[in-house]
Amino acid sequence: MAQKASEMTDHEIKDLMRAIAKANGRPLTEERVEADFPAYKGYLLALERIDAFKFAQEDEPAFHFSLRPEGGASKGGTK
Amino acid sequence: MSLSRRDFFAGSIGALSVSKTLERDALARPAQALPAPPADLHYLTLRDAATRIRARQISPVELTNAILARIDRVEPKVHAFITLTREQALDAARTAEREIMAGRYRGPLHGIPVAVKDTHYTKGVKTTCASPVLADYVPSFDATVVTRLKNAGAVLLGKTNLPEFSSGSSGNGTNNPWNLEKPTGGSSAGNAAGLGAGMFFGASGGDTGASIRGPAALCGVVGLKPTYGRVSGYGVMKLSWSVDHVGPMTRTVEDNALLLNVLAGYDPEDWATAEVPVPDYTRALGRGVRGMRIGIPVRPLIEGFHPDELKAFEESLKVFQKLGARIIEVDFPPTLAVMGDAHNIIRICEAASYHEPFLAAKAELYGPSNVRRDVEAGALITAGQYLRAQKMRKIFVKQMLALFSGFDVMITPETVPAGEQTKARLSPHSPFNDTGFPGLAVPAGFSASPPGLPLSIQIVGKPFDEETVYAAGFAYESNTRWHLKRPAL
Repeated sequence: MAQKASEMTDHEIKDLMRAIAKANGRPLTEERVEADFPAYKGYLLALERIDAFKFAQEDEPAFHFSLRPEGGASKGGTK
Repeated sequence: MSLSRRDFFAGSIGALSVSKTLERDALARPAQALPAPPADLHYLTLRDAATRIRARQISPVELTNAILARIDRVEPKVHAFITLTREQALDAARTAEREIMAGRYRGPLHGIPVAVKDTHYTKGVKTTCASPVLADYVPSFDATVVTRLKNAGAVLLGKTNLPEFSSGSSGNGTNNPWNLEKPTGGSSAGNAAGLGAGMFFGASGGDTGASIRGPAALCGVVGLKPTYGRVSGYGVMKLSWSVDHVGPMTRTVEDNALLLNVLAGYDPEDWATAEVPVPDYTRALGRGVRGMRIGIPVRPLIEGFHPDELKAFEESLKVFQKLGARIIEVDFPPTLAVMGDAHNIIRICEAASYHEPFLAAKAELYGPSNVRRDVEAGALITAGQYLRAQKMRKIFVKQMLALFSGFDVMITPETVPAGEQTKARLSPHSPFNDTGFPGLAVPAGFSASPPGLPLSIQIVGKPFDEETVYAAGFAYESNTRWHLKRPAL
């Protein structure tokens, strides 16, 4: 079971930041971890609110967003 | 070398028989049929200036010189520009003048001074995005919309101010012409303030979450965020490519339609643009709103807007009803409650991708804004989390398409005077960036507290139905006088 961001300590969130930054190949200095922390925590809390929504199995992301004049949203994919 | 005024004006009669197309053009009126131009040309509408140029009553060089003189007078107060390209503008004006003299009139933008936000790539001219990161960046090509403006014969005056990389709602030093102590909003701040101050006749801006409509509303001008895919974003700095929109800003609805006629269209360089025919948007202006079904948000969604803004909104509805429109209260889908979160995740993930090379090579150059912090943290969001937000958005778009099938346009309150954050449940902006529906900010009054600041309404339409949006906007504007008021600068 994934841990909710709202239940994580600041220390745990900073550890997560260090781990992801390292995995991305762009490690953060401690100064940057401190500077970026409020923004990242905000994003995690936003994601937690999105996660409260129960997606149906058939829901697809709008990977490449486009619209058609007849009023239908695209199913995604490249043009 | 410029033609003399006498040379330009001497051709005013013969020029009217250049072609059958031009004879049909409403701009083609003989100079003698027009009232004398005002002493100050800077607050002409784009349409009026075009009509007078077309009729050779005023010349592009004369108009550009008048505008440059206006800029010299008010720019020290307004700070609309990052880069003013005075000499290039005069060269373009001379070229326009020669072409018109030779009978090669290109259309309503020909010889008209315009500006673009400093996110638009301009070949040989610095494009800084108001950031030290790009302080010396000189693009090797023009953005598609800049090319379109140049091809239409417009006179590009320069590049306008914005917050660093279009992030945030500050004017970054640009002042509101209605009250120099009050904010312009962001991010197309220089465009909005410059139009309000009479420094150009039209401008191209960008809108990821309010950035055309918000500043337009705060500065008392007209701003359209077109349908996603209607206007090319190629060569315009990305904040978030799936929610960025490039669009026209002007002082009137008709001028906005004239400018969208030039900016809109498919661009093979921008995969997001749609291969959808571009109508002449001015043809829709006279449709009126009799029988039009206008959706408005249910009251609980808009409680919390500034009382002056709510009053302006309600007064505008009376105008529409008097003109024969039917008002229908509609509720938004419950997904609205998390769309702000989804919008922020999408925006910041895409921004992080755009900023990756800057973060890697010159992160220390970012300015004192929060851009570095926000995009560096955004780079830590995983692909799965980003796609979850996009999934949320897709559901919202489907629900909103269904909602919009019940009316022709929606009208919402616009930005809060003085730019404070609204406490209302409905943000008037980002939901329509997420859906990609067109939204037009139209002046709708002035605040009582604080006094004298512009108020606006927003008219939102269905995808690619800017015509109906303009028809509603023009009907409202034609029956009110808010757009005719000018700040005392």
